[in-house]
Amino acid sequence: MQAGVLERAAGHFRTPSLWALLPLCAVYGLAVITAPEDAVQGVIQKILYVHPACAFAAYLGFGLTALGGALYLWREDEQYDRLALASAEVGVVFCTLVILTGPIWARGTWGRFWSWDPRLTVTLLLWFIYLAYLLLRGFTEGSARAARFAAVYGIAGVLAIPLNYFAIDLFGGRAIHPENLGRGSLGAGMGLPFALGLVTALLAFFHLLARRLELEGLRARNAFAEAETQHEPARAEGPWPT
Amino acid sequence: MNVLLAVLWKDLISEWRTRDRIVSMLLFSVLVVVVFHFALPEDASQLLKTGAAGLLWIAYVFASVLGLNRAFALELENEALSGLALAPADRGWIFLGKSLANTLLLFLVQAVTAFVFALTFNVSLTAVVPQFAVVMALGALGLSSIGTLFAAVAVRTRYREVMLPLLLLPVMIPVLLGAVRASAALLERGTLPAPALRLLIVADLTFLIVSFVLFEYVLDE
Amino acid sequence: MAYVIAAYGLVVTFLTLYAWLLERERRRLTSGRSQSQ
Repeated sequence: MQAGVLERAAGHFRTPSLWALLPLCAVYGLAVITAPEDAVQGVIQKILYVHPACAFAAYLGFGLTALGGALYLWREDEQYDRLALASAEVGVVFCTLVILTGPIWARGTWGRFWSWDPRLTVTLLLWFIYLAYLLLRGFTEGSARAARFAAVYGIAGVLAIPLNYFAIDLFGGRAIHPENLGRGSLGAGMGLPFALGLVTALLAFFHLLARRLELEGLRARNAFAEAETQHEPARAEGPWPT
Repeated sequence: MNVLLAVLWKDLISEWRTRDRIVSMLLFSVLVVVVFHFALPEDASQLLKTGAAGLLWIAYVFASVLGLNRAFALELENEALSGLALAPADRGWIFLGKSLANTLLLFLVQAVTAFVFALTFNVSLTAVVPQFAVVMALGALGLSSIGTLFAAVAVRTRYREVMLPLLLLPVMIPVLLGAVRASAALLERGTLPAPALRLLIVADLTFLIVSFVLFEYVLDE
Repeated sequence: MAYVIAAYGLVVTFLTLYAWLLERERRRLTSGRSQSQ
């Protein structure tokens, strides 16, 4: 069984992206340290340079999970399912980080860990959807069925997120989230560390995704090879690319 | 269309014969109302003014999970799941038939529970019965549509009874929010707020369409 | 200030730990394969 296109690309991406990531982190860190302190919030505002960046990666992760699932249902190519799984795992890590850094910022600014703020609440729901997705994969017998079920849930979940956002925003949660980042309310000198944060998070996401994808491809080929050496034709649990 | 009616009829008839789902859902839902009495403080009148809608919908959500967990039990026990899968052109309609059956069952449970709730907690519903029925129906439809899809998934996993609420609860929040806000406004002011209604309708449509399309992938053997 | 360090520290730790776990598993899988051949 040959490595899929995605996994081969991941394998080539892994090391260069690491070499790019390390100096990028250094530059990013420097930008954060030298950024001016916010007049109102003080130094704690600097969490803003990492918290939304992780959120971006978390949502991207689930988007890719849903996309991988949809492609798998359409093409029945196992490597799309592996993409979905890898993206879900990396995404849930970033999502966890959002849920952890948000309350740290809130505690430092408002004195309370949690406030049911709309954006953070939707991210919490995303976290539960991620977990349900991973549990579903773990608890379903049969890899082809697990892949199909996961794809279905991924697609349903990704559609639920904007619905959730719309719903919660319309109705509830005290919005203590710093609003309107896009409307230039970032003070002078804060644009660079924020942008660097986003780029670094994105690169870190794709680096980890590449690693996870490569790993999943290795596992798949190992399982395939094992089945072959036991003098059974590799059982067609799903259409394997040959 | 015939398939839809056939499946709907079959589900309702088999439910009528045994009545096990409807009875357990009803009993459970009413029990939850009783539990509320013990869980709420002595003088709960203020809490009930604002929280009645939320309490009711909590009961409804749990009752729907209970019912959905058994929605495919008959098929699973008789190994008829693959039978459902053999008619490719009809799978969406099979889904609609099952989903509508679940909606009707849930609606019945909702109505009885609302009645019991109004009686025991002295909350007046008479002025808003038709609007309340609309909200209940829309909520039931939203819950049952995506719920039927997830029930078909959950029924073939380990820990299936736990899997369904894990899958369903985070996703059905828009339906819950719209339904609770609409119900609360009805109880407090007697009017149906347009944003809540819009949210309910958008969520229902989204879930119906998505489940209709994805159902066939859940049935493949 | 401690909050800021906690937040960034958390992010760096989680991501590095995850990367390390992935790398460890990858080494295990690739060395395992060459042994069985």
